[in-house]
Amino acid sequence: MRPLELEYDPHRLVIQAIQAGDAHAMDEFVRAQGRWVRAVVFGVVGRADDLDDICQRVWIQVWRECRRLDDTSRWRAWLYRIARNASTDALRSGQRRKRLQGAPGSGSEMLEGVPAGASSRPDQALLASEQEQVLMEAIASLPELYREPFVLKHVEGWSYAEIGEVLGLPNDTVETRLVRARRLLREKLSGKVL
Amino acid sequence: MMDERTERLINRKLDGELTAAESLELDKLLIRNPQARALFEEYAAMDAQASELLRAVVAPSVTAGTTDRMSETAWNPPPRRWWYSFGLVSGLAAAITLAVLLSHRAATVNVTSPADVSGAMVVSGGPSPARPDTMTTGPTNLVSHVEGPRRETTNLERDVIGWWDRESGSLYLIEADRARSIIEPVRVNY
Repeated sequence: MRPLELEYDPHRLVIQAIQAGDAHAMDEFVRAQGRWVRAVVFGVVGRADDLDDICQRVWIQVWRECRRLDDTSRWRAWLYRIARNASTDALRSGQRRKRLQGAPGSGSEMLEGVPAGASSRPDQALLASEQEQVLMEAIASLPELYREPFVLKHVEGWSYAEIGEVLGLPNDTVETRLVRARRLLREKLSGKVL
Repeated sequence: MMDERTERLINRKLDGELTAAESLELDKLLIRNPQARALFEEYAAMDAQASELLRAVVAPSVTAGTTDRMSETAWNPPPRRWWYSFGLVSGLAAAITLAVLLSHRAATVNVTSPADVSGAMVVSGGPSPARPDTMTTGPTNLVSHVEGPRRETTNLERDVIGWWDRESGSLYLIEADRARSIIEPVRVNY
């Protein structure tokens, strides 16, 4: 006989505190979940320069709408949906702005705000920066479908099940998308020194 | 070209999802197949760099300020249930009715005159020390205070309750229609 499995999710208590209007709980929530939310936003948008703005919008929306979340056990999927919607909105308005301005996007803007390499020597830092840019452009050019699980995997180190829970996908699909993301990335980087 | 099974095993290894049996299978493959070994090393290096880079990109900047901005944002009150609103309105109506009835019993002068009543509903100006804070009054008293806005009415069965607000120096009046049990704010003709 299988023992009764009780799933205890401490984050549900935090969510409930936020629903009661506790700003400290909200602060704790932002700190605890901030990284993967940023990963989702980056996974959708594929750029680093708008990350702060979009995430700010996500958290404000969480604060405003958390009372509408009836089933607190589904908070992860709920948060993912908010992050995803905010990202696609930002993406759409960015594309509209770009069309109006007629300015093509450059690869360098993807790396804005990213520390250039770990080396303190300028030449090594420059090389690292170039390599990072190449890699970043390759990741950014992945189809969103593959980029999202790839970014979550590499930022959070989540299992297929965890990624699947957030993205609402079965484990097999997550695995297939990661295989294809690596394959595509390898193709894009072939011939480029990393 | 790498076969699908080997590539999948390599991916699972890098993702930490291999079972013990698959791990054994992959080890044998990597020993036998230099192409598979090269792919594994290539993917492992790419993964390490991607992880480092992506973590740097999405590293949360200072979160302070997020909650500050949120506290500036209005907190959404909980959605009100119909019975909550209904109870609130009923309670308020009952309280006003009770207040009207009690005032009426205390010392009300009823506006029962069949004649047209002219009187001020809001009397602006400095408070007079002689005036009580709360007063119930009839048309005669009202007219004696009045200057400014006036009302015209032909109502026969109304109680008028007035109270004096010292701070604003205004006299506030409400009328209660006894026949129809309706309480409504006084209309003013300017």
